[in-house]
Amino acid sequence: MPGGNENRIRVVFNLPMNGDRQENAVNHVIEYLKQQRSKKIGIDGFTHSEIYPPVFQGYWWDTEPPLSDDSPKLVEDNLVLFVVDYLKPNAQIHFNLFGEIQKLKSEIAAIYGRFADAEQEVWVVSFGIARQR
Amino acid sequence: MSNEQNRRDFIGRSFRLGGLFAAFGSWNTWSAFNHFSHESKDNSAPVPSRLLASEPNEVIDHFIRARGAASIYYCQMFFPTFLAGNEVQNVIALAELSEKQMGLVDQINRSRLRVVPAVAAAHMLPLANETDAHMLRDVFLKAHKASFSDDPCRMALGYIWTCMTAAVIRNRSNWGKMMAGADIVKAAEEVCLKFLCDDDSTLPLIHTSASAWQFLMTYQKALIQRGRLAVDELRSVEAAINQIRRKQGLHYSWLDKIDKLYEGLNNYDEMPPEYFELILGRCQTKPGSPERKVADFFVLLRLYTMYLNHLGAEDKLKSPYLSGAEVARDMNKRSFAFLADYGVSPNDWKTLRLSVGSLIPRDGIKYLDSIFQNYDTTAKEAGAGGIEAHYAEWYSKHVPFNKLLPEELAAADAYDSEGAVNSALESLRQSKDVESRLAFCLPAIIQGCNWEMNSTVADKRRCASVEEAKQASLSVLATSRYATAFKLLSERTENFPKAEVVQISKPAGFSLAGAGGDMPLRGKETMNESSSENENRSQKGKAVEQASTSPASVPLKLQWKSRLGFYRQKKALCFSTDEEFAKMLKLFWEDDTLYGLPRNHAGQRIIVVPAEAVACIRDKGFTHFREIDVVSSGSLPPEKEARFRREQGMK
Repeated sequence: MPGGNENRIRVVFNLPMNGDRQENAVNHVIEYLKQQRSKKIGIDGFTHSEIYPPVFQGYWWDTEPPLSDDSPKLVEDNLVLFVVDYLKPNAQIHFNLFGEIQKLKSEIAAIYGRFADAEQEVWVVSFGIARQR
Repeated sequence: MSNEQNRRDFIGRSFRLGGLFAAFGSWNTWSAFNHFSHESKDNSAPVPSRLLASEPNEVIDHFIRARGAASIYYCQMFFPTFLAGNEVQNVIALAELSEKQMGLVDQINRSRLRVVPAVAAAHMLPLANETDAHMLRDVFLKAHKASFSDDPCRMALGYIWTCMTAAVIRNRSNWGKMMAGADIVKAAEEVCLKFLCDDDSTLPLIHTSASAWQFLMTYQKALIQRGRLAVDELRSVEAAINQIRRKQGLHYSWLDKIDKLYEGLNNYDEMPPEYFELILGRCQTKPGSPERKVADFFVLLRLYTMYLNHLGAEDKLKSPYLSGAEVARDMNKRSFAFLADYGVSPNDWKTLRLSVGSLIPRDGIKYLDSIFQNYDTTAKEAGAGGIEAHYAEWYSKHVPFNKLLPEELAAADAYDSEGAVNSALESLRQSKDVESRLAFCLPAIIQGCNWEMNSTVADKRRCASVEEAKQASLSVLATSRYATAFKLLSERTENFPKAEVVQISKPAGFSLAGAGGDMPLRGKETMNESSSENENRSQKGKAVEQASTSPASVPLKLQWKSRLGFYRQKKALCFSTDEEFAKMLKLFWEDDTLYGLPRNHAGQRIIVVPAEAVACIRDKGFTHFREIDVVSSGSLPPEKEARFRREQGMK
């Protein structure tokens, strides 16, 4: 129906992309996202930034004190940014939205654990958006 | 403010900042425009490669489709592979073909079609013998007459005279020997006199007469330099110029300004390009500099033309040279978009307004005020910020076009040496055959002269056969030293023999990367940026990676464009096993040749890479993958895209 808004939840997450293993992980995350479409959990597409070369860089402080030096280290990460706009559950589709987002985060962590080194933290955020129809 | 407006504003500001930092001293330093930005190669316009057209239909197609700077580029360079020697038959072929197509195109394209043979004739003139030259002048004059009196069209006339100036300064050879002939000179005079006749109906000829006048000014200087060799021709040119000066009239101030521009300019290196190029290069000039003032004058001329178009569109000006309200409006849009794309801003208008004097009437100033007051809207409606804006920086930095690639031009001196050529040839004799369709134009552009195909290659190279010299030119250009030239010419050209990278012995006088020499190339550009599209590469391209043991040979290193999107053709490679896929990813990160290859992923062990990288990947021993063509959604017909979306369950 043209006009009006469609409320969705936008999920944004950053995937580290600093080597071949992490690149392999990114490929599997994409595959995972593609599979979600058929599961009727409110995903009908997704967007990501260029895989290689990754255009985003992030910095974070490694707060775990290393053995020889107590000062936190500034860590640079090359990142691929993903945007997934989940439909909110409605009369037609029923699912646990935040449960799915949590599952997504767990799956990303699992993929990274399997193909690259497990990430300390995968940054996943979500917020409400209104899509103009 | 919308994103689009923000973007355009940003583009405009960038240009203005660029102008602030550019410094030029005099007309002698026009070539300083050519200091290329190291960072902006991805905006390289595709036009140079299209210069390589060699069939009449290709030439016509490129010429009539070109807009903005691309069309100016064609006027200056024309098509060196099409007119490489004394090929009068090609001009005739163009004339016949354009005649045939005349009824099939719209009015604007019709004016282009009409002038194509004239433009070709102008560029052919310096290469022709006297009999052929006579015929070429007829072709030119026929097109001129058709546009001037039979079926008046100022757009066609503008092209014709722009091209005459371009042909005179196309290269030193033309400068020294092109003979336009008294009839063509007379035709230029007639155009200017018509404009000066103080009848409003001929006002729209301002652009045309400025171009014709520029031709007369330029040609006069060329003839003066030839001394006694061209006394009669000079006499006819000076007679025409004097006739126009004597005519004066209300509108003479426009031509007078151009006249003054040429004062003190005498030799080839000092000649300014035709005026559109000056506008293109304006954003690279320093505000307040003499070059900026000259460019500003021509911007003013364009703005005045817009005002006249506006009057025509409003039916307030009747002229046989105005082609109806709709065309006038369309032309105004194009003109404004062009100026906006090349950085002319409301602030510029404020400055220009102070120098208008009596050139533009009060109503014209009011009209232009209103346009610049609504700059964003007008520019948006006119289509500014599109593809022309994308390439604007590239074009502006290549002004003047006839001095394209100055570094390569300098390097061509080395190519001129017999020793260097012999060395290259000797190496080539031992190598496999090299495709050479395009090789003619490379030295032609680089050396600034056309090669005479009917004789041996050129005086300095009588030792070489044509075929060998063609091969030599390609091979010499394929070295990293000439990467820029090669890239410019090969970029986005279908079937360009990009993979034919051969290693040649280092000729005397060459300095090459990887061989201990200094490397004058800009930024990280190397020839291989455009080198491997050719499928044959898998069989032949190994030379690229071969680090020869000979100290004289040059190992060439692949370098990729920075973004996948910059490649037109892409392939999705579908790997059958996780192991093979992981192995390939590892190679991407570790292999010198593949490092930096832009790519995308589609899941399921599918990776998207530039098509030209596929052969290289195969060369590395990866053969167990399936290739899938990648099609841009932008190139799909809407109904097909909709069908795909439906099939994929997308909304």
